[in-house]
Amino acid sequence: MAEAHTEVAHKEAGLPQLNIATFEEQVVWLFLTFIVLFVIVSRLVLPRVTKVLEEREERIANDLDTAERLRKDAEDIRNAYEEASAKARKQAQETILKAKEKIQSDIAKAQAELEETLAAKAAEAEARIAKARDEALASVGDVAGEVASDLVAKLAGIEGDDAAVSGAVKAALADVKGA
Amino acid sequence: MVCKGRLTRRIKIDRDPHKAGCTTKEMVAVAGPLEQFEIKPLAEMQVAGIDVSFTNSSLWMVIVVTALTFFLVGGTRKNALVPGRWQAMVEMAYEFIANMVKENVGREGKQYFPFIFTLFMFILGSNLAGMIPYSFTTTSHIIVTFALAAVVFLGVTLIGFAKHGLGFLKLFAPSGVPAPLYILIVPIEVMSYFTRPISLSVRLFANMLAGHIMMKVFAGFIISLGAIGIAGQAAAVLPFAFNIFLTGLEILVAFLQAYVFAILSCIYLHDAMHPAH
Repeated sequence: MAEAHTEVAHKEAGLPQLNIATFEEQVVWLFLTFIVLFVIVSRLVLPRVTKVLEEREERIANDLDTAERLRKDAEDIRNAYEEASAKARKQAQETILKAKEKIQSDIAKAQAELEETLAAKAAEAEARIAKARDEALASVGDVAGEVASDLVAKLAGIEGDDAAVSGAVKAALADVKGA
Repeated sequence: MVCKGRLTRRIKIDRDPHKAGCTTKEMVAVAGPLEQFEIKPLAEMQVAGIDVSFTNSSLWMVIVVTALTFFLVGGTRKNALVPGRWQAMVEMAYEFIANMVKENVGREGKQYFPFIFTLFMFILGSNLAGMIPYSFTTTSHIIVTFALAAVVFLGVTLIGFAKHGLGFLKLFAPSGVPAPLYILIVPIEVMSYFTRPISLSVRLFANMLAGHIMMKVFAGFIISLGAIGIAGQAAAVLPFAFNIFLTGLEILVAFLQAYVFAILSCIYLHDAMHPAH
């Protein structure tokens, strides 16, 4: 047997890979060690790595979610702030506008009142003047009558018939007024 | 199975790197480039007539799986929400493969993710462990890469038939082709389907084999040149520099081939999911 082996080894030109006698144990040990490695890899190593990779992915996804949520919150707060400030600005403007309107209406009212009082005073004064003029005009007739009767008495020596004189004066005045 | 006594006797000699694995070539100072691929039983075992001897290959498979377990379990031990460097590395590997499965198989490929992940990590771990001096590259053996490729191939075929029944055969007759062309296309598709496990396994195996042979050859040059004299020792800088470059390249290849193996498995799985493409 021993001789047969050496002969085979020599015949194969020294290439140990072609020594069929060694095939059996190589294959047996290959499968044995390979299966051991396969069991370790598939039962222990790969599930562990899968788990940690999944956990990491999940964690990253969660972190991204959180970041997105926080960003949205910040956005909401900013929007709320802007809305509130816009509202406040609008309110302020409205208040200013109202105040302006009130002041303007107050001014208009005061002016109207003033104008009214002034008009009333002017009317009163006019009435007074008219009355004074009427009075003056009315007294013109008497004065003219007296002057006329005095003139008649002095020039014609006639003791004036006062009634006739005043009638004539009145008629003359009426003519003047009528003209 | 055979000649165990002889092999174990050889191991004692193998401890000496200069005489590694050679009973007939003990005169040679430099170990041959193929010595590194030799399977050396450390403990002979048989279970139910099957050879289950613990060899340097098995030892390195156990070391790789132990190291991967330490890396993966240790990295996820704390399972912090904010990962540390170690955890970030494990998560990077996870997401890299998860994306690969999602993009190449689709959403329904999720149930095969643990398998693809194990496949990638196992191949990557084995390839990288092979870069440690005096280690053994389990993926440099065609039987190992072929066994892995066969699992992928059989798995894909079974999934294809389980999901689509005979509809899975539509894979060999792509739609939108003029009927006469099927005479040509179907045999080609069938052939390309059955060469998948071969191309998948040979690609990984050949890359590992070629890379490690190259490194060993250039390392051998350094020793040989160094033995010549002063001039040879000065010239030995060149293969030494090249070996540094090769080491970097091989680490890249270790990643690349693990990636290629995993992504092709994904693409095959995609075929099983959607045979009528």
